[in-house]
Amino acid sequence: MSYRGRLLLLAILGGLSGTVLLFRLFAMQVTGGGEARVAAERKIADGRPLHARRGRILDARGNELAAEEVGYELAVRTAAWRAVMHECPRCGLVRFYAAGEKARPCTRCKATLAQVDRADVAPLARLLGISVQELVERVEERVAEAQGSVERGLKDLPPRQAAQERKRLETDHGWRPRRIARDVSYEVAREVELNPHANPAFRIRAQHTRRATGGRYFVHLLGHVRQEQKEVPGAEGLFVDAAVGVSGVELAFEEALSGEPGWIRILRDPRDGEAQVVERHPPRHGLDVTLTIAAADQALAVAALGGVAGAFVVIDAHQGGVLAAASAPDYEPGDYARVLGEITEEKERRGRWPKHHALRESALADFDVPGSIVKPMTAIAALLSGAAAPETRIFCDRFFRNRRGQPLQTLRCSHEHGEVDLREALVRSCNVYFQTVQKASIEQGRFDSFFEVSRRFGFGLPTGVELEPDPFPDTYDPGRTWEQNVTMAIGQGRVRLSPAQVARAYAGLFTGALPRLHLVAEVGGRPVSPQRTPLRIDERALRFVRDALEDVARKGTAAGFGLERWPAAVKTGTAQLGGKLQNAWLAGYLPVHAGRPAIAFAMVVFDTELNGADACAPRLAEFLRGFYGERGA
Amino acid sequence: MDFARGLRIPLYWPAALPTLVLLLLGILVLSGLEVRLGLVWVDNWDMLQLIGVVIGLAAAAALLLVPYKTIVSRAYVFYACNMFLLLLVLVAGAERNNARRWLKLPGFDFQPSELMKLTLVVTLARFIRFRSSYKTFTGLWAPFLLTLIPMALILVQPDLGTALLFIPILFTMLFAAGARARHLALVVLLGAAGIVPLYEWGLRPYQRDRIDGFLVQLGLVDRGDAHMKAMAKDENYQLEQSKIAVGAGGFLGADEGGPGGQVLYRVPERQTDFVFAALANRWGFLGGVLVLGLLGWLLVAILAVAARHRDPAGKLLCLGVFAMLGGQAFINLAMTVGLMPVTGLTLPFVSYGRSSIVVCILAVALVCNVAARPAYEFGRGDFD
Repeated sequence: MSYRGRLLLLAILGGLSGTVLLFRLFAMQVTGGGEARVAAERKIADGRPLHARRGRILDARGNELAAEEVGYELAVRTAAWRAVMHECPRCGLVRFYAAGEKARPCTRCKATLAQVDRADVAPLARLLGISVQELVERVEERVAEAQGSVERGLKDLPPRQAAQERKRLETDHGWRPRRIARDVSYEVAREVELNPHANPAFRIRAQHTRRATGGRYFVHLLGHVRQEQKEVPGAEGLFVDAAVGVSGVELAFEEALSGEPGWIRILRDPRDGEAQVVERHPPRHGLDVTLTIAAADQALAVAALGGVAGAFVVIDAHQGGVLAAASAPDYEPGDYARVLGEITEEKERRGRWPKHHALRESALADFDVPGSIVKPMTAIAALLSGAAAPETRIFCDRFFRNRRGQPLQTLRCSHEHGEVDLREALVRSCNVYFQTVQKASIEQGRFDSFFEVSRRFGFGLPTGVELEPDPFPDTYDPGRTWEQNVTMAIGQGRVRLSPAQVARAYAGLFTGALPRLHLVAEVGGRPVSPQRTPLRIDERALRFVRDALEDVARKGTAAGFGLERWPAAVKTGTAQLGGKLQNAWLAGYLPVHAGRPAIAFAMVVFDTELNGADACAPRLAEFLRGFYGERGA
Repeated sequence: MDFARGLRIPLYWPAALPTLVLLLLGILVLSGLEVRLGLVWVDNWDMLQLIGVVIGLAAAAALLLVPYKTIVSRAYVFYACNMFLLLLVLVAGAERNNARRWLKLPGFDFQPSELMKLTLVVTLARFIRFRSSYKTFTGLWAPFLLTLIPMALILVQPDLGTALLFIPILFTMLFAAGARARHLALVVLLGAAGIVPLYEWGLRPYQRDRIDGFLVQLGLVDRGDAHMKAMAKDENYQLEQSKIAVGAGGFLGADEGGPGGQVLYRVPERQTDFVFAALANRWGFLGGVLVLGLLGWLLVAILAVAARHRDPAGKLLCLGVFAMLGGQAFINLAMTVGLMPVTGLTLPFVSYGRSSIVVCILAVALVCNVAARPAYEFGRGDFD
């Protein structure tokens, strides 16, 4: 190749290189310029999270039970208090250096940082309503506090390790904002936020606290929240402090209540410092959640329990809405930490968790031995399977006999009922009758029918109420032994029911359909539609049992407590737990009365020596007096 | 021009004019990167650059007064002096960012490796001019040795970008002088075989990371590896910022106060290695094309001198400068727009850096020197 040819080759090579660069430049700036400008805007503009207000929880009449309250807290970063602030004139990066220390160039754009002279704190002190000296003293207290924390952290460390650890601890404690005043005014917050150069050491922390106006009446239902840092969706690296539901309705409706924080991007012009919002994603505030419970009814239910360990639930028999759900013992919402501490202490002392404690919600999601309140369902199963007829009479000498004919000492009747038929057995709650019928049912191979009827009444199944555990525990199993299956007929053995399950079963007994329970009537203004599942049980069997239960309040086990003033059908139950302690139950329903809807209810008093009637009937009567405004039938 | 004629400074305007315009553009770009704090200008790169330009032009004027033949004849002296300076840097050089590349002089820091590029051009011109041994494969060892020794010293500093630039200078001069293409290809193959050992043992970790980051950016390395991904994110930071800044410039340039303009302040070394990002950001595609056009014009002018000059030494000087400026410009621009890994190379005439600007002006002055002086009649003709 000639010299000129070689030169031409070099020229072509150079020309090709230039062409490649030109095309690349065209692709980046002309065809891809828009994308790059969007990317630039995202990189340059400072992101700020926008808090999403947590939705309120309201009672059935619109009264506020839990709402968010906004307050401001003034804090100081002690390291910044002692340092000199420098700012990048281009990108606004702020760095603090010790007095006399030379500032290094901006780490983002390499520009020389400019020292920002600190303004005097007099305006801030004036807004706080204290003297400058007092403000400085408070800050110095925090400085001493931070230093103390560092020294405590270094205690017991060998000198070499201490020297290494000191820097970390000083950074950690020095830059952690320490509160110097809480609940400061909006003006103080504004002064600090809008004049960051004048107040570089101070920080305003917005406090979004959850105020539970429902107090102890709703403490179990509403649950509680804790503050957590959540990443703002769509804004990488932006975090916001938010309340997160930990239990109760706050947890069950977390998604609706919490909403979604938003964010904005602010662009500051380095030439004049003017800021403009270049991107805005407004927050989606949380939705209000309206309960089916009226605060007044809930207060009646809590008062009816009178502080004894127990639970009481009242539901709308047709719609399934929970009208009251009380658990005792309870606690003031602000006392959560103290109560938890006490319970933990007791656990340490006894070596096991206490069975019924203040933090336990017992009305809707707690399961216990139900005793005789399941007898109406046993009676229906017996009627449907043919194991018993209304006129079937059985002699009760207090003791049920096993397959070998031996009388069982446990689960015996409280007294000798003599010869009783099915209706009488229900009214007088005869254990021997129902165990005998169950025995016959098992011997005739009809136990499945009993189990099927129990399931139709919702035993062992979720009620639908929002606070139930997930997965739902199956607490209604066929027994492993013949005795266990027999005792299921009287609600003993391998049977655990929640008061909500019992109340729903009685609602089904009364209306012929099993309602889906719900604690929430509306979410964000949209009503929750009620659901009902027909029992598909012969109406004659249901009517027979209803008639019998109406007699219970008048002349049966619940007579003499004043319940006959209302058209109530009830059933008492006393679940034996071993020893003298027992669970006292009372369940039933009332038709539409005095302008109130038909209700079903279940009450349980835990670990008492009283029977179901003695423990629960007077409490129910007290509730009904308040519920119906003292207008007895 | 009259003033130049009066002093008998032989200016070759086709090369001098684009050079002066590029110098002016460089100062204008640098002035747009400054910030004023109160009454004080900070980062006044344009003023510092102006000092460099003045020094460079003065040095160029002095160079133009000396016939290039005289310079070529003393090439080995320059080479030896420059080698001494490179050794001195390793012993007594100022260290910045973990690199020892500068000699502290009163007023400014001098970078001998920058001067070495031009010294190498002159030395190779001197060597090749009087020999034809490079036309055999075994005869290539001497020009390679002349090149590899300073390269090794510069790599130790470390300054990979400058060192790598020596290779196109050597190959261009040898190729133009008539070295066999197959011999050069064989050397390239041998060099390629040495890439892996060089990558493994010859490079500093940060240099390896830059290459890895570039390969990840091109999708040639699996991004699934968490370490590689994290490392690439870190290493590609500069490149990513540069690409955004260039792109945000659009067709006519970005507003300084807007996000497109502000993103430039996130590009590290925007006044030196990434000055083209600043230029393309402020003046857009049109500004970029203008710079490319001026560089192209300058390189064509240099090639034209090489083509028509009769003296092989003059030809070689022009071709060496062509390779030096062209290679440096291409590597810098390709790096800025993400076509090559990040290396520490300035954009000729535009980037801030007084050693670089002085050497680039001297290089053009050398071309002017060649263009303005006729060849000796008894000199060897073309390399045909």
